[in-house]
Amino acid sequence: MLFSGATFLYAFLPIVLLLYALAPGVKCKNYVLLIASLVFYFFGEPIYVLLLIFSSISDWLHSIYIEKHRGEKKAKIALISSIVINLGMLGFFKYTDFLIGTVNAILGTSIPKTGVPLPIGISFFTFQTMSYTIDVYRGRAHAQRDLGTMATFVCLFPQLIAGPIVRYVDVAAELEDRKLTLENMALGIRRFAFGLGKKVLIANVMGELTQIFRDSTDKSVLFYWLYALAYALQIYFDFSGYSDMAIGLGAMFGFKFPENFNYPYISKSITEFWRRWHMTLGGWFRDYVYIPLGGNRTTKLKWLRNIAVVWILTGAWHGAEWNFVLWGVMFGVLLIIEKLWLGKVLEKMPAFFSHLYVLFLVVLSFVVFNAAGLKGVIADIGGLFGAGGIPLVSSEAVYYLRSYAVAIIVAIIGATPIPKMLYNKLAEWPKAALEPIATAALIIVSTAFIINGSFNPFLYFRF
Amino acid sequence: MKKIKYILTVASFALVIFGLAIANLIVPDRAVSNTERRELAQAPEVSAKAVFNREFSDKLESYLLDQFPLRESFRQINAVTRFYAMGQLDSNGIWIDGDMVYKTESVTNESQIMYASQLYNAVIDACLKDCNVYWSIVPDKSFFAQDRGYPHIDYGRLIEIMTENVRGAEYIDITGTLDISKYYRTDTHWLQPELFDTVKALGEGMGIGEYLTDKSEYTPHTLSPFYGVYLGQAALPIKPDTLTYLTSRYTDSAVVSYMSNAGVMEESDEGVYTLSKFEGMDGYDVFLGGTQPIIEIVNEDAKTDRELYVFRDSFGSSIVPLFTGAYSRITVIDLRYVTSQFLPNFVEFTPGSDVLFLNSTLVLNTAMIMR
Repeated sequence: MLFSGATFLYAFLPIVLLLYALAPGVKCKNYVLLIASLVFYFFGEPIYVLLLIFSSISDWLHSIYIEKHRGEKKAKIALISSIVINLGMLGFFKYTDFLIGTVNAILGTSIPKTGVPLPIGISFFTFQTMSYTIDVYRGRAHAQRDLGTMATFVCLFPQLIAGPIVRYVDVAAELEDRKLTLENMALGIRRFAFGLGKKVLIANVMGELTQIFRDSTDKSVLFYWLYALAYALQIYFDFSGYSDMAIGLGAMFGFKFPENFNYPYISKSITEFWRRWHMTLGGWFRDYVYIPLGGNRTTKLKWLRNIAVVWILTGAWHGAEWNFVLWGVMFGVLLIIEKLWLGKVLEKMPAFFSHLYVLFLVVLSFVVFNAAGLKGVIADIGGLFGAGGIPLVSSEAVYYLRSYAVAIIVAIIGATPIPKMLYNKLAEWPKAALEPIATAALIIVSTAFIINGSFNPFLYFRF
Repeated sequence: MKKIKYILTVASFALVIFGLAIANLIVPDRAVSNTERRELAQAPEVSAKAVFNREFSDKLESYLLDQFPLRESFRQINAVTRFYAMGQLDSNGIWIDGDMVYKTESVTNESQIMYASQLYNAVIDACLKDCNVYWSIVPDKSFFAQDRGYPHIDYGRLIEIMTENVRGAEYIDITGTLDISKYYRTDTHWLQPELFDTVKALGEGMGIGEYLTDKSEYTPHTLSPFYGVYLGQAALPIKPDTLTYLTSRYTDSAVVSYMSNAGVMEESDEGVYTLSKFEGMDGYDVFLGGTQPIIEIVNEDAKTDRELYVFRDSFGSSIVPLFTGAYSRITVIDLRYVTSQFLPNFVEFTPGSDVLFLNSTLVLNTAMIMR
């Protein structure tokens, strides 16, 4: 079920909001959320919902055992067991066929692939459950004794399938006691409507343009760059829009989820970009991989190794294809270069050039990200620089540049803090009138686009 | 002030979400969308199999989207936002100039056009060696808007491929007889009352110009509203067209037979205009019953005893009735719905007859739909 689908917006959400409002007490509200979340996941993954239930029970049992045997070797064994189970699930469903394909390609074997489909959101919920048991092991969180509450955390539908990656410690207190306030509700609604608009009115429109490019037989250098720009905007508005919807829904149910994006495209270095892009994933790798490996408080060689490990894993987390690994490696190399030398140069550089540097590399990186394997990377990156004798300009490219110019400009401005800054300058009274109208208008116009359009995927579902 | 803002935000959200959800339950389901000219999805049946293979969830989403309350208004909001707020030049390939609606065609499928020429040649070689064979091309509306900067077929290349490759048939150019005013505003098709110059060009090309029925002998009849195929796709507040068809003593006396599913020709009660089809999905089906593999039009009152075979698409449906006075028998064949290899099983081609291949640029550009 998509947040931007009619089933969610006009069937699932009203029913859940109503039941949630009627449910007395936090425990009862948790059960409403748990059942709703299982139904939500069941709609998209009727079989794999069992995986979600298994994951909840497994980490619930592990965490209780870890807490019971804190300081003992048994706790460590239980932690390892929990991590092996979580990574085992992720590895089996996400990487088995990738490994088989790689072995077949290298050794010339013909080992049959399993063909097992990837459970939606597995990369997100396994990371969340792993962080929980690790935090319990580290003593940062108490083991949740109530299975229902634990399952509510794991299955919580607003953030279940595409993040933000919410750690147990982020919501532990709210799972036990939270109040549904008018302010939270209103701010949640505003955030949800804003995210819906970002997703439907910008990301989907940019997605149409990328699809037009893919289908075109009239490719040119200009068209490749138009595609690269459109895809960079699409993925940002798609994913940050989803995060906004998730955070907004969380607020509507009394939760405060962590922020996931902070205007990444205004960054002046790749290091800054990754502090602003998919912040919960970056934080997860920092706290559960980079720092345990020694972080930067070690020898230079090990420090570089730690960065390399984190970025290879980040790439592979995004997808079981070599282009994702390459994408991660590319950022790892850039971050190492910035830390060793370029970072200081960028600081002294005029802002315009450092922005240009980031945007150029990020746009290129997303071309790598969205390519069909390594061959696709070569074709798409080559196309950006005129490989294959394609013309500089084609009539289709000019047409679609004209047709999508307004949407692209709006998207570019929308990716900066400018609209928010302008809005914040308004006095309170026009906001009182504007916000409710804008919220309703965004939902209505987004609904109009949803009804009319067929292009409505979520890019991060596949991760 | 903030509290008022919060109350209004929650209230407006609740009004939209709950209001539309309740309206969804109350408003009766519709079977057909007239403007989109398609059947609408109906409530999916619940079964364990459908639920577990996700068919149910997919169908439920389609159902909710299709039966959404105020669906037409929402589609208009979408189109207006795209065209006027976002400045998009087209929406789903549809673009407008005033109230004339066009569709972009960005790809020139040279292989498909080549296939069309080869298919013509194969039919000529197999069935039409003793006939007088002609061919022409019906330009689509974008032909007349090539200078507007919208993606369109490379018409020059299309005509070049066809003229270079079609053998054993004479080309009759009708592009000069047409302009954009001779097409429906909201539909892809041409206007029958505006085809006299085109009929004349084709008739003279085939040597029967003197037997054509004069314009003054026709009586126009109108049917409205006619929702053209582009109207539904555009979803803009554009007035529907009025469909006009012409009758004469020759169209009135023509006896029309359609090939049934069993491959047998069955006489129709309605003649060359199937008025009962106007209320269906496509009002243009009034002309020769719309989608038909083979049609036979016999006219004992015709001015000659010559026979004509027309290989056509839907454009042919409206122009063929204007030849009924000149030919005693017209056989209309649509190669999209009857395989050329099996033609001799259904049609006996009389030696010395006239044959006209008359397909539009749109069909030639996707010619592999013909067999």
